[in-house]
Amino acid sequence: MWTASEAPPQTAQTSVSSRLAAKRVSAAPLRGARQLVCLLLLATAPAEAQVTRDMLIHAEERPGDWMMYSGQYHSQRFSRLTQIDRSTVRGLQLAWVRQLNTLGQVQTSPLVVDGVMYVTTPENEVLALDAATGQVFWSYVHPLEDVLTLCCGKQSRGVAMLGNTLYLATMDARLVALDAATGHVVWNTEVANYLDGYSLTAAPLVVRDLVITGIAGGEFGIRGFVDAYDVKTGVRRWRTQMIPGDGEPGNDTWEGDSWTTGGASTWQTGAYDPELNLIYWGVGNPAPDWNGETREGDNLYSDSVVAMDGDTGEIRWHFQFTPHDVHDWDACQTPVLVDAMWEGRPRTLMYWANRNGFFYVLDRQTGEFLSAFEYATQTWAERIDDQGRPVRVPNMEPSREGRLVFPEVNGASNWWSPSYSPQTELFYTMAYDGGAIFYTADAEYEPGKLFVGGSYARPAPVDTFHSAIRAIDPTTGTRRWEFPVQSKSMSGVMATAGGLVFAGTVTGNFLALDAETGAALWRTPLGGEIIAAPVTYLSNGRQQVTIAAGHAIFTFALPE
Amino acid sequence: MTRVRTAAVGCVLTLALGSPLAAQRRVASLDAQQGRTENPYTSAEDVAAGQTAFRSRCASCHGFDGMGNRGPDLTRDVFRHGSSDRALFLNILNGIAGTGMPSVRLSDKEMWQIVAYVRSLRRQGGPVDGDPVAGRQVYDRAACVRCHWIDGEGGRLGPDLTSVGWRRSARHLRASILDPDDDIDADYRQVTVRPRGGGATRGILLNEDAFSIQLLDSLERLRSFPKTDLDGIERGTASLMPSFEGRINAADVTNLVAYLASLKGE
Repeated sequence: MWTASEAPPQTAQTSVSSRLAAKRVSAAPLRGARQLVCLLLLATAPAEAQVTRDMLIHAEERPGDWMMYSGQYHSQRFSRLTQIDRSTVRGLQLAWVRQLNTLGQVQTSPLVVDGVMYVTTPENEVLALDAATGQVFWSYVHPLEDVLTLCCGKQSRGVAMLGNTLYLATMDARLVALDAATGHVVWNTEVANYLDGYSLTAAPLVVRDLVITGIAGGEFGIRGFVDAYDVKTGVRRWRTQMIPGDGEPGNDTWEGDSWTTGGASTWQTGAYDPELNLIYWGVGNPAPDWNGETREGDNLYSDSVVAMDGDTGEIRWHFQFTPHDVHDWDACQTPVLVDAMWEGRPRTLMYWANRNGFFYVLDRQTGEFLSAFEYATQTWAERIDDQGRPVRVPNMEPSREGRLVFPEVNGASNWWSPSYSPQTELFYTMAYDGGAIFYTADAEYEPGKLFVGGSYARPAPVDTFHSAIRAIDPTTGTRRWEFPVQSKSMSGVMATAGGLVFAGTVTGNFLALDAETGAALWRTPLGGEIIAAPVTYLSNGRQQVTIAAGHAIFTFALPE
Repeated sequence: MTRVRTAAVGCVLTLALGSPLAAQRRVASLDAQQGRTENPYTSAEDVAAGQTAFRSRCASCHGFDGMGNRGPDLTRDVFRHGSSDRALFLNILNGIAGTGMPSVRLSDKEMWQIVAYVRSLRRQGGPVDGDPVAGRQVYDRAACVRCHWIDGEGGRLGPDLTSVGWRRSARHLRASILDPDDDIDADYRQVTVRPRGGGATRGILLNEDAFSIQLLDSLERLRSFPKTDLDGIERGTASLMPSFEGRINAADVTNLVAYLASLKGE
């Protein structure tokens, strides 16, 4: 177990960014403006990389930093820090708040490196904050046109980092590299034409010398893909289509030419296994969402997880959770990678709490289906068969008159970050037991226009359905505990080696639960919707926990 | 890139230069909501009223005559953030995110009159003298890259020049080269902090409140200091940029200005 004293040395209070020594020269104080000629004489040695490839691969061993969206490549959103634990958590206090320039939903999962925190706003502003005080070092505002093609409002869930560079994916479907010390643009690359319905909302993932990004736009009849860009130049190195092209295996799972407008977006950050060199990414709904009549077939690789070669992007395997989806149950969840015993032998596993109400266990090396069980209320499938395919309940498709189906359109879970604790061997997720009435309608594709083929309505107010933070034992399919929240909440969760699970609620409560029992050990009302995921790190040697709530970033620490 | 400005500079500077907060705010405007594209106020009286409003509201950045200073030259009739009447109107209304252009809260009529005045300025400004290609060589010889950033490369202690040709007028560029102390960009003020244990750290002031101070130090590191840990803070009144008056000849200065004016970030 990690303790703060065992953690790598944290930078001193007066050196929050010591690794960003871009110029290897004497730090002797400069005297007088006229002597600043010496600034011109500074040697321009290569900058020492703040975040190296090796650091990313072994991120769990550097719990003082939070260097990527889910904390580590295995996307467990688990921290080894232990200063804040079951016994000390009750003393947790507000350290600082940073109000953001937004009225939108703040979904950002901050990065923290060498005491500098990087957050994003829904309007694609990036801020570098002093993690100790919340004070702003710099901000970058990505210029956006007034008209964007977004299904669900402006959103930005964070940045990626390698070396001294941050990577921002933007709502006008561009990838922007920013200098971490200044926010200056290093490069700015178009990923796709946003006027055709493409956009980017997720934090990219750096894998080796590539920036990996998916694409959003599943409600606009796009053809989804996963892209890799050179970290230095922004030049695209590969693109893997999430709908097989004409003549490719799987293309025959689409009726006629429906594949050309079939959606299959990739709008949530994936995971990576450095040893297998496989990138895992969840794939979104087929388009049109609710009218499957014109796209008969399984509609690969919609609602699947794909495993791609880390060098070439070639698909090594895929597993489809919801063949021929007609409920908008994107598989855009975070893949959680776990090495654990499975039926008596060690295996490389993938845990997946799917939007369709089932929890899946796969072998992440081969894609072999191992297990599935219900983790939230669902009415559309009798069971998942031995091959991992759902055995459907008849008459659960949307209709002109409307049909009540559970889970509702937003799913039993969604992009809300789950967490896995190697200590408790439990998987934690926000889950929702709501249903919706699904309707079909005609859909005609037009570039840049919504292409959904129906609609949905809730049969009762959202808060009349059950919503809970659940602790799931993936090996048995049992629910160890749940902590009910009201109303429907969409926050991410984070487990720590302090025996805690942090989570938030739509009503603005930020919680620390006992990871073993689910008991609420600490709670604070933040007065704004929590729809983001928590992170934890060290600031000047002290463990801090940060969460976005309402339109602000809140940071908590134990008393000094 | 927009650095957050400090409270110490006060609201006057915030008004004059804008802030990322102001630039993002949407202000109610019937003409904006209704999508009006034609300027309904274009008479000689409107232009005169627009000139009066411009000189009180806009001239501190765009120059008394609109030929630019810290803000862009507005006599060129082609603008980075839109050249239509409606684009100009919306930029006055909303500000321009990521730039120094703030939202200016005026009535629709006053904003249209300012647009009319700006339109009346077209073609008053002449082309920029000098040879941009030769100016690039001056830029390299004078080692400007050590402190300035263009297209993803360079130093961090001076302003990003990637699109400076849009943002600054030629005369402001010339003045910045020859007399940089005359008008120091608020984002690039120098400061030296003296921690209690001795030593000193000098850099660019990024942010400050009563309790802490943040800067980019001379080694280009982000630094934050609680003020209780400091013996003192010295605020330089000069620019970190040295004057090049007499260090490069007049022709080179002209060429350097031409090069910088050509930088449009495209």
